[in-house]
Amino acid sequence: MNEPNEAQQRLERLLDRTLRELPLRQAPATLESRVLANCSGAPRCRGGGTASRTGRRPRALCSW
Amino acid sequence: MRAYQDMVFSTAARMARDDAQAEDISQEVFIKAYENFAHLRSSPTAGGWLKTVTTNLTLNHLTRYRRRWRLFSEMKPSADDEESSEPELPVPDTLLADLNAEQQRAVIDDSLRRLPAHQRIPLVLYHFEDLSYQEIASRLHVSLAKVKTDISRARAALLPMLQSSGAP
Repeated sequence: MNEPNEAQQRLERLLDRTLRELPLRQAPATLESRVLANCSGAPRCRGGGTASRTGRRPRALCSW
Repeated sequence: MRAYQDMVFSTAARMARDDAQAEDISQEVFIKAYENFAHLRSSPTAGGWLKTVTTNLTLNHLTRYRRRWRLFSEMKPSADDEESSEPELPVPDTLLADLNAEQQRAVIDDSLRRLPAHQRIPLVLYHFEDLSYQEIASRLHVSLAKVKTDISRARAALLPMLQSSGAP
């Protein structure tokens, strides 16, 4: 059995190592279209590219 | 956005309790990015900016959409929380070693969501977001002792969950 303090430190290191090596989760496929709809009010990334009211192009954000 | 959306979603999903909330938060993050796009698109620190905004918005969501009294009552220290006694743990050398990376991620995400918010959030901020104990205490408006206790208990609760999931 480990000493309590040593056990805490070992557990911290073990979890740190385990958690940091995790792959990222894949964002939902709907996220991009939701963002684009809110940014421009209309065009979707795949077909769009028209400028929004602010004059910026949502498509550029998409491919960023 | 395509380069960053998995990072943003993962960051939100680890702190939030469900994917729908994490997607709402991710959407907000990228709308903010769009508002600052002229600066961000060529910035070498865009990833850090996005991660910080994601963390801030997630914390905002957690307080906005939960009953406020409940979140902060969970965050308040109790006499028991301030005790320094910690469980003695037999700590293995590895965790989930028999699982591939994607299986490990699924097990860990599921285990994190089984932790109460007052343990999960500081644990995620410490291990995933690299915040110090003091920074976490400041962000969550709780004492340093409370943060240390909650993170320690979160680890102690997580260990058996991961060990049982990773057992052959």
